[in-house]
Amino acid sequence: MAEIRVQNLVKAFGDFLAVKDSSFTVADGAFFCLLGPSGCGKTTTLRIIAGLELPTSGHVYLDGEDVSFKRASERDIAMVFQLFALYPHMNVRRNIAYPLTNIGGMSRAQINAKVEEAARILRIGHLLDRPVGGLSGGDRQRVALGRAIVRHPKAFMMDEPLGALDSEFRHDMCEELRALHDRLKATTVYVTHDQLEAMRMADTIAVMNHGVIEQLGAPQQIYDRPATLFVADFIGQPSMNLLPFRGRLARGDRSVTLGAGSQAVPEVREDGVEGELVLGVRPEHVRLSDEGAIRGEVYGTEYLGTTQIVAVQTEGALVRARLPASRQTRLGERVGLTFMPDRISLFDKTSGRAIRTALHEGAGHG
Amino acid sequence: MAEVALRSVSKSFGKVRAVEDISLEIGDGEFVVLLGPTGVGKTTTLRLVAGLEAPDRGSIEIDGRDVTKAPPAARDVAFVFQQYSLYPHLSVYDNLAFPLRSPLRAMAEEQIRARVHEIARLLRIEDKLANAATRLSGGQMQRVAIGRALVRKPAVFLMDEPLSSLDAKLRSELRLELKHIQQDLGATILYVTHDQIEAMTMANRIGVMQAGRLVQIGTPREIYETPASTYVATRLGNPAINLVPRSAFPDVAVPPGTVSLGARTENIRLTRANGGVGGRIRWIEHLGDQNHLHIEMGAHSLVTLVDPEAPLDVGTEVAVELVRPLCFDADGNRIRA
Repeated sequence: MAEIRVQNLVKAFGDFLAVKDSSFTVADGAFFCLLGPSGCGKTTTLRIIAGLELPTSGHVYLDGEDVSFKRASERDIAMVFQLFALYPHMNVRRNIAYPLTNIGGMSRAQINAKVEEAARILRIGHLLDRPVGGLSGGDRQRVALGRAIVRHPKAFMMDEPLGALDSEFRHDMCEELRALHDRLKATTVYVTHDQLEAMRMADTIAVMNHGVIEQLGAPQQIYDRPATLFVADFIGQPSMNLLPFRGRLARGDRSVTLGAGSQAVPEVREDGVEGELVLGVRPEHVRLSDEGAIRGEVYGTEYLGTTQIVAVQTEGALVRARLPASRQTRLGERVGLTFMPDRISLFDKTSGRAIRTALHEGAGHG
Repeated sequence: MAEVALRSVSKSFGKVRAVEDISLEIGDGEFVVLLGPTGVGKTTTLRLVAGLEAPDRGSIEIDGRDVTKAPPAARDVAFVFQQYSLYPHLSVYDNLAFPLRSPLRAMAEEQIRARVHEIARLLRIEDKLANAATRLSGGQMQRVAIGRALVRKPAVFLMDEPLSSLDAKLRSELRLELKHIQQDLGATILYVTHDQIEAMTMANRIGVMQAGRLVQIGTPREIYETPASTYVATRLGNPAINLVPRSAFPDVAVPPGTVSLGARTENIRLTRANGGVGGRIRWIEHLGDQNHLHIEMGAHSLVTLVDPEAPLDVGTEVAVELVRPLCFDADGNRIRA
């Protein structure tokens, strides 16, 4: 069990700043996700916590102890990588036991008991005496996890551990990993570029871009109240509709002028915002309605079973709406759109920052 | 543009029966998606139509002409692969023009230019024509690869997971584009994927494959709402359909022979009151636009979608009622009510 605290972390590779002044705390027992596109600095952050890289400046504290310059082996952290490197010549039992055989003073019986326990938690007890060669991808991943949990480390670092699996199976493994976490309650830092994995498993998500944490928060908070345009666009499938407009906003405003019409928005809670602005609305908060001020033509529909995504080409942009699958539309049909006012986000286009509104007050900036 | 027909086509590799007695007709201008997990025979089927493999039995027709023995070049098909294979030393324009400059097709450079510009406009890469092909993002490169297939106006397009190497956002953009272009051009497309979203969103009809066989073909709605078996039922839908033994819901009226019940979100009613079968909320997965509710019911569990605003917490006791669930027999085949 451990709390991890990262303070003013900076990592430079030559001229390139991979991590720019990151600070965050992972609570004891939390499942923490570093989420972002490739090259955003998430893996570098993880490797510094694990002790596989040294920070250029800043500190890493493990349970209050400064471990910034301690070796990986002195940190009592277990790494799980994307490509589960198992020893092919050993069976499952010996693979899982391997990290314990390096620690002196453990009897064979003790090791066996720990291996059996790990296998029971992962439900692979029946595979213990099998060679790893013939195992399915999922079982190989479970063995790799077994090797990580058998030591009872203070924390787990996972670097896209499900990246090599196909999508259907990845979702099953998400559920399994989260259930495993709930049983072990070990602090976990998990790196992924897959927002669904992060949404499914994390207590807290840090969304990273260009070495900076853009937002830190619970999954639903990040989804409902994105702190920046990057987060708004990155999270959500399909992503948030972003409609640019020019305007001036003052404290207390409850509507903006968008195209020809006026659109109600959550009450603005700051002054002096003007220029290039962006209105953001999630597809599930868009409705087709004859009264809608924003009008366009149906460009395409995507049937998803329970729901469908209807894309409407408006003057400004392609707007996607998530509607019940029962709603019929024709390609080229002229439709009006309405947005649910209290779910709208507003952004300053130049800085990318969310404007403070009744919805956005209290959203965590990184 | 033309139609494709496979008649009782089989193909084995050694002892492995990759494709087993497949019959399939693709109408003019139709978008058919073959769906199934890795190793099910979808790509082999596609390669048989392309002429990259020869069938052991059966025949293949394109545009009413038997092409079973014809070489790939004589079939008038265009193939788009998963990995965009562009000529790195050529510009985007020259990559797109390449298929038109084949000595087999004498086409005036002026016509070529018109055609390349038309396709580039459709794919929204007109401003990239002068770029080197390698100076593009992944999504743009795949657009060029698709464009190279489109310039030729072949009888049929064969596409093998063309979007699977792209990230989620690009994939969703290109899905919409591809479907739009297909409708614009009236193109006939046979497309294979293991991604249910691609199949559901783009196909006129989905062919579901299982162990080399085509086990059901129909519109996305037909496959989703009236699957022939539990195998087909679990191909579509997120969260996946819940399959529980009939005994878990003794009060539901079912046809004789029913062994298991299939229930999607649409078939599940949750209430806090008594009645139905009792369950407890074990976990709520917040996926942003919707929540997946995991309900524990004794030995079974159900996953269903709920509105994020629904006032439900972990530990809440709920009554579960099934409304017109799908009924399956002991072999997993659906029993029609």
